[in-house]
Amino acid sequence: MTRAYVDDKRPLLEVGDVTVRFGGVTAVREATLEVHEGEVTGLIGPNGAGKTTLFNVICGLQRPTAGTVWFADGDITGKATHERARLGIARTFQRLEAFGSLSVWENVLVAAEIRGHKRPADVARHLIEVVGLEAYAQAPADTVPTGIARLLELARALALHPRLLLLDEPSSGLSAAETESFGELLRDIVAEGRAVLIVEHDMDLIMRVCDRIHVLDFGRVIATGTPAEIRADENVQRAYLGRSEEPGSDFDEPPAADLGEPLPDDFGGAWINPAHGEETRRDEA
Amino acid sequence: MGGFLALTILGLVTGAGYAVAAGGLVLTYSTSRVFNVAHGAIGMVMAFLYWELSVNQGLPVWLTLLLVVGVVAPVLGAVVERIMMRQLADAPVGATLVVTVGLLVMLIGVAQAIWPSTARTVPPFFAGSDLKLGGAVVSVHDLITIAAAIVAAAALYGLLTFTRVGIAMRAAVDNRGLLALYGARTSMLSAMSWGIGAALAALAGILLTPVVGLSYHDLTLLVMSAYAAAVAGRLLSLPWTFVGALLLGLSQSYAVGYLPTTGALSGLRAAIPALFLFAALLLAPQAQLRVGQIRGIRGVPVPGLLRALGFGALAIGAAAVAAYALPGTTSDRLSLGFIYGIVMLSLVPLTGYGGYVSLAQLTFVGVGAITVARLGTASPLALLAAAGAAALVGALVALPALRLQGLYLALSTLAFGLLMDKLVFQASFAFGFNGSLAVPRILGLDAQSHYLILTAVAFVGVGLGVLALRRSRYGRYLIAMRDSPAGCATLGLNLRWTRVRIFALSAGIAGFAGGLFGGLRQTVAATDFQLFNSLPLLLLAVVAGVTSVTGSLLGGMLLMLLPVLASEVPAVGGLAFLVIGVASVGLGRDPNGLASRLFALGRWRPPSSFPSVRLGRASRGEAAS
Ligand SMILES: Nc1ncnc2c1ncn2[C@@H]1O[C@H](COP(=O)(O)OP(=O)(O)OP(=O)(O)O)[C@@H](O)[C@H]1O
Ligand SMILES: [Mg+2]
Repeated sequence: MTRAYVDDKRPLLEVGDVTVRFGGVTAVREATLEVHEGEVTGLIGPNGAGKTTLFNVICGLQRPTAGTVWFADGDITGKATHERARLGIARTFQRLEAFGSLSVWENVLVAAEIRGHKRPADVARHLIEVVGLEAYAQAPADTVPTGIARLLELARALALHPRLLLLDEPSSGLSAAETESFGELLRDIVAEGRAVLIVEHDMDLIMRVCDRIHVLDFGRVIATGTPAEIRADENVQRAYLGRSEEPGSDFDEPPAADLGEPLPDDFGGAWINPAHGEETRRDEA
Repeated sequence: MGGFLALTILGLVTGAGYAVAAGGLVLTYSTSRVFNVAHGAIGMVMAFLYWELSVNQGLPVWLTLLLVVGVVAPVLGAVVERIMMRQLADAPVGATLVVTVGLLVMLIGVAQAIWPSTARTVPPFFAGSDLKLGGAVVSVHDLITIAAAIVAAAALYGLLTFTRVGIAMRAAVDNRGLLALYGARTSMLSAMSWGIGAALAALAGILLTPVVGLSYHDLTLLVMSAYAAAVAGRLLSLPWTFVGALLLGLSQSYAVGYLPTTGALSGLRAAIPALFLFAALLLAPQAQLRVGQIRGIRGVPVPGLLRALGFGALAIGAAAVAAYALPGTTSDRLSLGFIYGIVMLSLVPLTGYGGYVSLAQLTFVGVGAITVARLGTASPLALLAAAGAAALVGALVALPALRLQGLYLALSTLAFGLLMDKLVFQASFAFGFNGSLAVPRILGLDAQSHYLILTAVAFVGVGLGVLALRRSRYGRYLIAMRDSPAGCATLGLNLRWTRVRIFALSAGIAGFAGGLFGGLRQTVAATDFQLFNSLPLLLLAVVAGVTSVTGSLLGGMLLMLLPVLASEVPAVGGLAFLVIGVASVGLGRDPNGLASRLFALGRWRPPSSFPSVRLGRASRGEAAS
């Protein structure tokens, strides 16, 4: 499943020694990572590790305290968010940023229009089908369930025909079956030669779809490698164990021992709290 | 040198007064994230109350101060917080501005109702006991003002930095829910900060009355100076705010001392805060977009083209009937209603779709009127020139706040309106000092009936244009930008230029209306376009419905009716400000306004409210915006 990584061409995205400080809090410390075209790259780490902050740095919503961001052989550190979007960086948000008063259909349409497609309506219609949102097309975006809104953000990002797609916890709110087809969709996207950088708490999904994984802990990249390497990595295990509260947790067995198996759901019990960071507004009664 | 020293002292005294006001503003803003446009108005009402108790009723000064600053103002602040601000906790910036402007207008209405305008003076504290200081005279009042500022600064700083309550206050804004979990009573904290803020506003108002004069408007504009000072601290840092206040006081004092202040420049003193503000905005660092903030606002349905044309024809037909059936004075009134309606239409893309607020829309109307007057031609092209000139000015206003966000943009329109009022409109290329201009009637339509039909046609034309805009991609951009600026930016939309364009468009429409307004009046003066008249206009637009053409017409007619009411039923008319204020405090959160209730009547559906009523089933999304 995981393919060998060949270091023969320049990465599409290079984050170099990025540090982000918020007052006294250092959210990201000298993080360095690469994303290649045609690959799904995973970014994992505990709550508060700095994953979302790093995304914000890459797409220009957060200026780094130090460090550089290179994209497609150009230094984009000083570029505005919309300029980066035009260069081909699109993203989804962990805390949703759908246009609440527009319909799902208009959300995707607006993205296609901003991108300047000749026939934006056709692009939007196609993408609504690709992510399977036909049933919700006319619903106002702030009335749909979270999972649907995440797919909507994905369709909106895809409408830019981006070279790099940043996905921040895209599968939360999706059912098992939906997650399955979501994984396939990701493989399809990179098969077209694009790059995907994904933050996910669903380890099963991450291990299944990623070509490479970067592990972030306390803002630092503590490991980089293929899923197999990450499972075997001592630093990663220590990061897990250091936090694990249950003595009998799965980490007592080295994850490397069951490489082929999907990891149990509670992999890293203290790592992930799926509900963390969710908007509270979607109180589906 | 003595002159310089005297000016410096005056500057420091004024700056100290500003610092007290600005401290209160920053406190309430940083603890509730609601910018209180009515901050100065609270100071104004309290200064009047101070006059009433100490001068009119003869209470001792110390007792009056204690009563006003220590009791009445904090209670007022807490009541305002309880009634109005709670509901604004998560509201968009536009809604908070409208509601606080409503409070401002309401407070002016209250002051005018209780204390009808006559000359009133408030003697300075310890009048007559002056000290000599190196050739300059310092009154005890001055010293008290400076001392009050120092005490207020130290107390506020200490409160926020060292006390548990203060630290909790600052934390409250970041995460109310979390703080509540820890057992803090966030509602109590918020009420307290508003109480203290109002007390500081009152103190500043009373201290500055001898400098500014006991005037409804000038004291209300204290918020402008406080805001200009607060921008130096990015609305959050108290020390920088105080530095800003002192700099502002000094620059105002020196400008008045060393620049000619007669004739057209006589408004310089009042305009300095606005100039200072623009300078501070230009120096302010780039704002970062806020992430994680979305809230849909269900708009009213957009009618199809045929339906819109039908209603348009109906409106023009009705105007034509009225033009011939009713007397000329009524025609003129209806024309004015249509013209105000166009001004309100100018707010539809800006405020209704985009969520931005302009507090000086009448100023753009004035620019349009001046343009037509200066061109002196009756050609319809003059109207286009008026629109163009106003659009240009609108873009210029949006530019300084380009790198910043909605709140700054709205408040720079306030500064802009002030600047135009006090300086530009007084210049010889505009109206001249206290002057007026003759404006030709477009197409030479001298008959009142013909002019009514012209304005009706113009309204319908602009209305159709606004609806077409809403249906176009730019309409979607505007709404998308309002719902999620960060989302838009990551899709590649240049927010700054979209914002400048929408401001220019809105100002352009207002300028177009200005050309028609000038023609209707035939002579216009700066007083027709006063900043303070822009505020009821904005409020009525929102109350009537700033998301629809129907709402604009309704609002325009209501605005036209107000003075009519005032002249025919003086008892009620005098309360117009009060009524508008109360209405917008109550309805200001729903930009769909009364119009949406009308639509709802027609369709037997409950009106959408703001924040939007969630439609239960997704399939009912047809009515989306
Ligand atoms: N705007 C901000 N101001 C101050 N601190 C912030 C800000 N944004 C993030 N942080 C802090 O930076 C750290 C990293 O946050 P970030 O959201 O990037 O983590 P994350 O890895 O995405 O976590 P999660 O898995 O919970 O989404 C956290 O400690 C967070 O509290
Ligand atoms: Mg995150």
